[in-house]
Amino acid sequence: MRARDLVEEAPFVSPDDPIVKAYQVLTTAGLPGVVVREDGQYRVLPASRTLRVLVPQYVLDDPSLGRVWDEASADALTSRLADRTVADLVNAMELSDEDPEPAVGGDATLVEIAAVMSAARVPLVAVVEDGGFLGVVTVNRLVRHLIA
Amino acid sequence: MTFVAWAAVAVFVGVYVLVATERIHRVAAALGGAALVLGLGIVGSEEAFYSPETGIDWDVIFLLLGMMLVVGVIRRTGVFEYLAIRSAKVAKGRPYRVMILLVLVTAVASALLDNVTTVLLVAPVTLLVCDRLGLKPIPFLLAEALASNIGGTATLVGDPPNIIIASRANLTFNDFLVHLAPIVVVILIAYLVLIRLLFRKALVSVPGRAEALMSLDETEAITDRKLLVRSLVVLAAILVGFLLQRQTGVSPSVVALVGAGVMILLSPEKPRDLLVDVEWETLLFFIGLFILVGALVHVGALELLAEWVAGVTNGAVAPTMIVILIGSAVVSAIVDNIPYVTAMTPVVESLIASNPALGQDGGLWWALALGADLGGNATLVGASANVVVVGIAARNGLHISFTTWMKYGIPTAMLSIAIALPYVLLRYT
Repeated sequence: MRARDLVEEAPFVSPDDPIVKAYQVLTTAGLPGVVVREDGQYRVLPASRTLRVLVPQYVLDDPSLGRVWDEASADALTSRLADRTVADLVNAMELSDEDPEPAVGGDATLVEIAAVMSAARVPLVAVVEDGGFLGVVTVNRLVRHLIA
Repeated sequence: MTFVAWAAVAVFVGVYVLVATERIHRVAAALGGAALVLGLGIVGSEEAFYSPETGIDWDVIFLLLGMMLVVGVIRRTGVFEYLAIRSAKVAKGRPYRVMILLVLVTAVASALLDNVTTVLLVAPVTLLVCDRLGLKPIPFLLAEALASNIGGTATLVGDPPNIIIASRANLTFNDFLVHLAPIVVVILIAYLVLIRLLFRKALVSVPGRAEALMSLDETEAITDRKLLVRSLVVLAAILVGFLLQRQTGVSPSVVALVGAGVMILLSPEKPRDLLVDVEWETLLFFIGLFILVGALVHVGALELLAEWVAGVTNGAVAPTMIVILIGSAVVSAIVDNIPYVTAMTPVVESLIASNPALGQDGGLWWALALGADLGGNATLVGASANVVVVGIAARNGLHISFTTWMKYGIPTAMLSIAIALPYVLLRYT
């Protein structure tokens, strides 16, 4: 079994897109992360890591401030996202050029995909064939085939 | 001066320049310098480790260590977050009142604990309060950093230079309360008026935002009520220990270490996790500086500096007070006040030895403390608390430039010194 047999359809976003679009992809596609395409390269933002932009830095600095936060003001969080873009999400990940690109070719084996996911610490990888984006392989689907 | 004396001075000046220009890490500079004076044989292990005159001042090191451990437990209780949010609510979200209360919380906390920890705890919650009120946070952050340096001046444990001065001059916690605290209260009141003028443009409330502040639940910030009560009891006991130093003869370093031990026993956290809060870098920086300054004392270089100052002022009381107070303020505005005060304590000691009138009621020591502590407000690099606040601001996307700092720091430092100078001259000459 190869990557192209496991692929799931998934939209990708680009750095100039509004940040809200990335969150829409997360919630509607039900995937554990979002694929960002930038200059022909693919990056994956794991869903949990996108929260870094949603939560104010001062709450990350002092987690006890998260406890005093009342539920009614949760929308104060989303209003902060109004003029921000996907590029802000990518920057918050603090990725460096040395980080492995979380993408595989269509004929990648299951173990190869597992190795890429593990090295890049992402829950899904982009599948690219002949320069075209086929979709993603998620960790759920991969494990299901590896273990079964 | 002999060749050895010149060598000791050259090493010290080299380290000072490296610390000031931040070319290499300050701990590396201080320990490297210490290694040089030890390696060159300018001082030996006897002078460096065991001599009260030329060696490492272990009272200072262990007092700092003890207080760092105490703070490490208290900061985890959430009491600072509680106090800051409570204050903002008591002020009903009105900007100037919020600023006054946050400044007072910061100043009082800085007097009891160290300034850096205080601003580290108050700054994030200030950002939350400003976010809710729709206010620009930079004025509030600046006001707090400046207040922490003013508040820290009031007590023996408030600012590291005070700890050094207390140990070298044999001054007690009560001496600081009697001689520095009253004038610091006056400076703080004047400062509260000054911030109204300095930040007037930012102190305009945004209609309808107070409600968002009121909906915060500050009681949720308290993680462990039992631990909070216990640690406040221990902190109170430590303060009583400081206050009774004359009667008990127990030095503050011992009181702080015992307090730290009790705190660690009471805390549910593992000691290893609490040790994370100890700033080993600061302690090692002190150790390196003490060895370097010990070498300067040993070769008699600081004696010469004292003679030079005495020459400039003719040894007269008032001019010496003025030179030490203003000179210390200017130097501390530009470079870290810790190496400065470490080097100046032997100088002040010999000035007092040559003219005992200078040491009347500790006069010249207070001039040194006031100048070194309050001068640090003038620039961004003048005090550690300033650097920390600018760092927190930057992480939250707020840029505070060197010149922005000076716009508010210089008036604050000048006002403080303008109040401190007549005080010192009237009370101690």
